[in-house]
Amino acid sequence: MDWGQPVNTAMDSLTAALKSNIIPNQEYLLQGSVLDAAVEVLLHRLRGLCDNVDSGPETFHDHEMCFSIRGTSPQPLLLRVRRALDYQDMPWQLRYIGQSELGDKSRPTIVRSSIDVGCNATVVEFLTELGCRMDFEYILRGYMFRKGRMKITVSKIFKMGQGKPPESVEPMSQSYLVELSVLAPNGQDAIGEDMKNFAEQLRPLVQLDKIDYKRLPVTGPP
Amino acid sequence: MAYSVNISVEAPIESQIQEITYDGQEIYQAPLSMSENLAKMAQKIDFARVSPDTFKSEPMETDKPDDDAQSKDSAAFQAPQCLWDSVRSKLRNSLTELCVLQDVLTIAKEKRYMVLDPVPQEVPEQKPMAQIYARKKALSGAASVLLSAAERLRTSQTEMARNRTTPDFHIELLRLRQNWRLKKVSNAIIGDLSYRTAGSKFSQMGMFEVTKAEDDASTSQASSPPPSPGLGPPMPPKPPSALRVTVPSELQGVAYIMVLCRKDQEDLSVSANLLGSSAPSANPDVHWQQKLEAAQNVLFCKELFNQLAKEAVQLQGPIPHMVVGNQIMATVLPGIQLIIGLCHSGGGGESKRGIAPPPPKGDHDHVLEHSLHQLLREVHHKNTHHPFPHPSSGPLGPSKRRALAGPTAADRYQLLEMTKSKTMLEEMIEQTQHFFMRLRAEYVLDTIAKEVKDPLIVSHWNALNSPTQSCVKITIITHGYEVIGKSSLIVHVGQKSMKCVCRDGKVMHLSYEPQELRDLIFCQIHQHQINSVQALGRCMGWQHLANSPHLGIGPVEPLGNASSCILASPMGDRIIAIRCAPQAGPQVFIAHSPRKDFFSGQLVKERKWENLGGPFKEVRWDKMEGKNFLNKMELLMASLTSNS
Amino acid sequence: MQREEKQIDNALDVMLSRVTELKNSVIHLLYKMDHESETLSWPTVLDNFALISSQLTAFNKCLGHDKVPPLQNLVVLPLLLNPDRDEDLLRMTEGRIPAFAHDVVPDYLRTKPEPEVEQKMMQLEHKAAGLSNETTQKQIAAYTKAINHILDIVAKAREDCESENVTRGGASQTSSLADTQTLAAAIAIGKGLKPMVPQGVQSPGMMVPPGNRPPGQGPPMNPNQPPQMGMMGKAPGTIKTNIKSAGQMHSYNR
Repeated sequence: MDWGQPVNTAMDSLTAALKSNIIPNQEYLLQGSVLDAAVEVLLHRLRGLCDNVDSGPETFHDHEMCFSIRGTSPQPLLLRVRRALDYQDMPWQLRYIGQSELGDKSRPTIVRSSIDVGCNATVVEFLTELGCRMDFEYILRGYMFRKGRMKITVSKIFKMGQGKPPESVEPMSQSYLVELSVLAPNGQDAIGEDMKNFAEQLRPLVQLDKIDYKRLPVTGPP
Repeated sequence: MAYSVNISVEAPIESQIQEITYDGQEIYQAPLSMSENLAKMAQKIDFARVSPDTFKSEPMETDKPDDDAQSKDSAAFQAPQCLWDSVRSKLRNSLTELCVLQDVLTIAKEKRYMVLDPVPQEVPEQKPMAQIYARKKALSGAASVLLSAAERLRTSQTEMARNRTTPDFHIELLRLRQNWRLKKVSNAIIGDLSYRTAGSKFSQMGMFEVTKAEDDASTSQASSPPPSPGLGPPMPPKPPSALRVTVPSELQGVAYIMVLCRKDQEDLSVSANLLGSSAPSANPDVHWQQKLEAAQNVLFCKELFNQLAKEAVQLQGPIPHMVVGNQIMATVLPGIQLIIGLCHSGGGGESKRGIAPPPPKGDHDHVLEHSLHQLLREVHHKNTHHPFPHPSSGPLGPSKRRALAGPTAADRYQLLEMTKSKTMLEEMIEQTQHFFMRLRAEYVLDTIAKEVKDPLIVSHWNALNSPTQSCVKITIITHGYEVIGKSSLIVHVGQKSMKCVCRDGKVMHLSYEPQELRDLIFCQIHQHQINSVQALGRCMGWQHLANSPHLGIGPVEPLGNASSCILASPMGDRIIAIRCAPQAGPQVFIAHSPRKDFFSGQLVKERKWENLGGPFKEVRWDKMEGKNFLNKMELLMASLTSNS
Repeated sequence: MQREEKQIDNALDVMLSRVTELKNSVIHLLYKMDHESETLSWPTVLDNFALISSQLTAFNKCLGHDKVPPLQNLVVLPLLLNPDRDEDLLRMTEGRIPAFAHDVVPDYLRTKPEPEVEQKMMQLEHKAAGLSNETTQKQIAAYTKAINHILDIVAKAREDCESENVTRGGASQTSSLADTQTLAAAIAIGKGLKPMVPQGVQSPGMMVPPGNRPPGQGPPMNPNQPPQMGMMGKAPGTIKTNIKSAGQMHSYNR
């Protein structure tokens, strides 16, 4: 690299990176769930399938807040802030997730755009100043695995007690959410097949699928 | 019967009498209309008659057409398949019956020639006992089949149990499967011995094939090497394994990486020749575990060498690294070269590269070879052990430092630093450099300790060190006077330089030249002498008048400066001056004041002036008694003190 | 009457197709034996026999089917003999019978069993005839008992085997689609997580500046602002109950 050249502006380099399609801004996603009773079996199977699990599965304990802001469009813009409760020294994460494209039957996974950036704790204040308002928040706790580029998370979702002490969290359901995801640059659809194959190996323990939550009856405003 | 000979013109077989009517007329069967059975048989014969030798059997035809067909059949197929014969004839009969049934049904369905006509029901006669007999027979038939199968299974099992010692292919395969990755590709069993699952990105494949060994077992009884540790308890000596693994030819044989360090150009030709085949010719009968381990090692060495060669070409050094054939040469320190070679002797005895005799053992560096292996393993480990993101929604891949770079607003320099990583070759060169630095420091310290008996030089190497840094503590003491004076310094030996930390907190950086360390130690020795003399003087009640670590007078020293000190006796009438130079060694002078005998002269008229101190006289030090310098000093001081 | 004829026709169709299948497999096997005898292996032959055997069973079953009229009550009645060549007939019988003439008909209308079979039958009957009625009854009873016993054993073994398969197959449910959807919707749009409050009612206390929140504390709450906390605690509480009832109503409506 030639550092003697005048430094381009950040915007220039970002545009260039976007054009050459090296930014992994697409998330390929499959979702499923496993009952609490069967989660041990699933973890066992994942240990057999995934990369370097010799030291046991990696645990995580995250807290996510979802902020929304109403712009000109009728749909509010959702922004997520997540932090690791078990790794206080790690940066917080601000993330935008686009609309899920389910596609037709031939497409193996959900594809949605995903842009994330590391930040510190002041991001919440910043968003609030911008006019965002917190929609909801929850706690995730579980295990993650990786297999090549694929990330598998098995997480329990907890509701946060409003105004109650932080310890009193209440699980959403009697199941663990299982997500299989890959972040990749635009157009790398081949990974979808890999994911499909991997999901196949978890059947019938978990049915990983394209979950369309919009089809569900939604109570209340979006 | 004699006249009948003439009239027998038509073959009597051709037209049989089918019926004799009441008027005596005989109705002959039409010659062409053979019986349905025969027609079918003929059809079948055509169907099956493929080889000309069926015709040969025709003369053997017997009288009856049905038999004829059968005999033809059997003649045609006797050779290849007497095995299926009985089965086939039965099948054929059943086919006949089936055809008839089909025809009847077809014609009856047409309702032109035949119909199925209901008739009054007649109660079928029940013959229960006959039925039971029939069923019993059928059941006993089935039972006997099952029993004989069970019996056969049982005998084969007992057979197996009895011959437990003979290797079983499947048991062996199971063992193989426990240690190696296998998969079935159509009819073959293919294994993979590459390190790809462990994080290797080497392109060469490590496929091997597993086959059942042929029955040449009796030939070789020996050559069952001890099973590898992974295999569990050692097995008793046993006949050759029932399983054979075939590794690709490029992975056969024995390979290893050799690391050599050479000084200067001390015959490079030797080093070129060193990389011959020293491996024992591969024994074709080695156990598969050994064979696979050897092949895996070959693959590993190849990957290691490949990687190093790639780095050597890419790396910009002040003196470019050379890659020649299966050797990499890199200059580590001026005049010192590191040679890394890949030695691979092919299987089957003939060596692939090099023809020279094996290198002398101990010439190559085991430690560096080991660290090379370790380095590649580390690379493998790093390839697979990426850190997990926290929070969990983060992208896989970036390290924690990278993840923190954004929020902590890392600048361009910091980001660039993050991308830097040492290549294996660089790491290797550093380790070699350090190795040499350590060797040199050791040598210098050892020779000084040998040369200099007074004072004593004690060096203590730290047992724990890193591959690129070690530490030695040097203590200078005088025998018998350990309590009085002890100088110590610490030398950190790095890759291309050394750092010395003296007791007074002075830090000195030395280059890779060993002479610098040597000089430093000598300076330290003489400083030690001066310091301990002062300490000794204090003990003896002598007064410390002056000292100078860098004496500006006297002959110029080739190295460093002389140091000196002046001590006065408790009474103040004796003065000792010591000059200690690294090169010249200690010189001791004494002066008396006042002198005991005074003779007034022209210049010094009164005795009181004698108190100012007299001229110094050098002590003939080598004539002094005493084991070492301090001992001599002590005696000297003692004698001077007691006199007063 | 017509119904019966139709039944017979149907039965004929079924039987014919079964017989054709059976015949084809026998031909197939014979062909294999004749032409691929070198490569023919036991397992292949056994497979073929298994096929034939299953076809035979199927044929037997179709004979006993209640849609098929009792064949015992039917005779094959020849209507017409024709010495002339009949192309239709030839085609129908795959070239076996050129004419329905009196030379072939007796073969086709044969009612006697195969001599071998007949002989075997005779033997058995003869053997049976030697027994008295009483012994026959006894033997039948003993036989039935033994057979039933064995049948029981086999049935039990089979049941065990099958049940084992079922349990090993892990028929028990390990995941729930409803839970998947609940969880997916929860993290995507906060369904079931957010207090669904009309916009205006939202307490400003929700927007606690979290910058000065001490690290390590779970939810975004600021202990430095207890009054707001209290407000927060109360307001969403009542709202929550409202939602619950709303949700229930909704589910009933469905």
